[in-house]
Amino acid sequence: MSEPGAKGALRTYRYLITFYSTHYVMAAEGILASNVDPGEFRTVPTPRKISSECGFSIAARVSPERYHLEGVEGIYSIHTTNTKELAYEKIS
Amino acid sequence: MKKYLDARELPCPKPLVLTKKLLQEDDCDGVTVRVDNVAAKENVSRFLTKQGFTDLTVTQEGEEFVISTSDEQLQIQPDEPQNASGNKTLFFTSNLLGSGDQELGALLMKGFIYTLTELEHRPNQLIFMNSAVRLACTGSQVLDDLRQIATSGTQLLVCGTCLDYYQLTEELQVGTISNMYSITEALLEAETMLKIT
Repeated sequence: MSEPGAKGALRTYRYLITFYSTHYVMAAEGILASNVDPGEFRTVPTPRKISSECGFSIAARVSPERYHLEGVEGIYSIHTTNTKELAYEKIS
Repeated sequence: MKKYLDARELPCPKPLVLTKKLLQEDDCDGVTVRVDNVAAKENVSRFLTKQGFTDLTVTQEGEEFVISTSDEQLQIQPDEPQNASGNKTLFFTSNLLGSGDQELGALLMKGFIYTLTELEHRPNQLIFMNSAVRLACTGSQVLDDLRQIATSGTQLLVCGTCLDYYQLTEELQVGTISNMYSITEALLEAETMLKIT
């Protein structure tokens, strides 16, 4: 799945985490903030091409699996296609 | 019909506002405007050029200036005024987006500003007033996004009075400190002004 509009910021992150609700996004932000460097993750509007129940996701450079985040709907790996668009592959 | 406007001794941005009004009259196809200061001359000239009057005559008489649209040149319609890349100004008056839960408001604002960085056609100007100035100061979670927007040619104007009020003048990280005159002019000159509330 690709997001033609994605210009740059997401390219530097490895994972995209989607959640069942915005409350889980906020809780996960809190957990990540107290465990990893602020530059290691950021909250972003869920890319259009990903179907999620929640409009916000978290992009992370570190693997999110060890932080026991609640309400995770899916984890995607972010990569760049041949045409330099961003693509997301569901990994869990 | 070409119309005349005496805009001397009028505080900024009055000359601009009156010129705009005059041009909106149905029978007006050109203007001659007399002003008494450089700022008004520049504002009115810039506005007229943007409106398609590219052939302006500006004459100085002492401290006064007379700006006149050409009699021969018909107004050229500005290129695709509805184009998404037209002069758009976003006016932020709060560090939160929408009224309601503060945490949600902060999240929405973060998402909104991030999304601006992803857009093909970015606004020409972002203006920050009242608590929105916090977005451009140390500790803001959208600083990187605002820096990226600024480096791509969008102008960021930050209200100096507001920075001073919140004691954040030293903390400003991105954008230009601005005053009510410049901000009001920018709002009035924008083809499209969107207030982000």
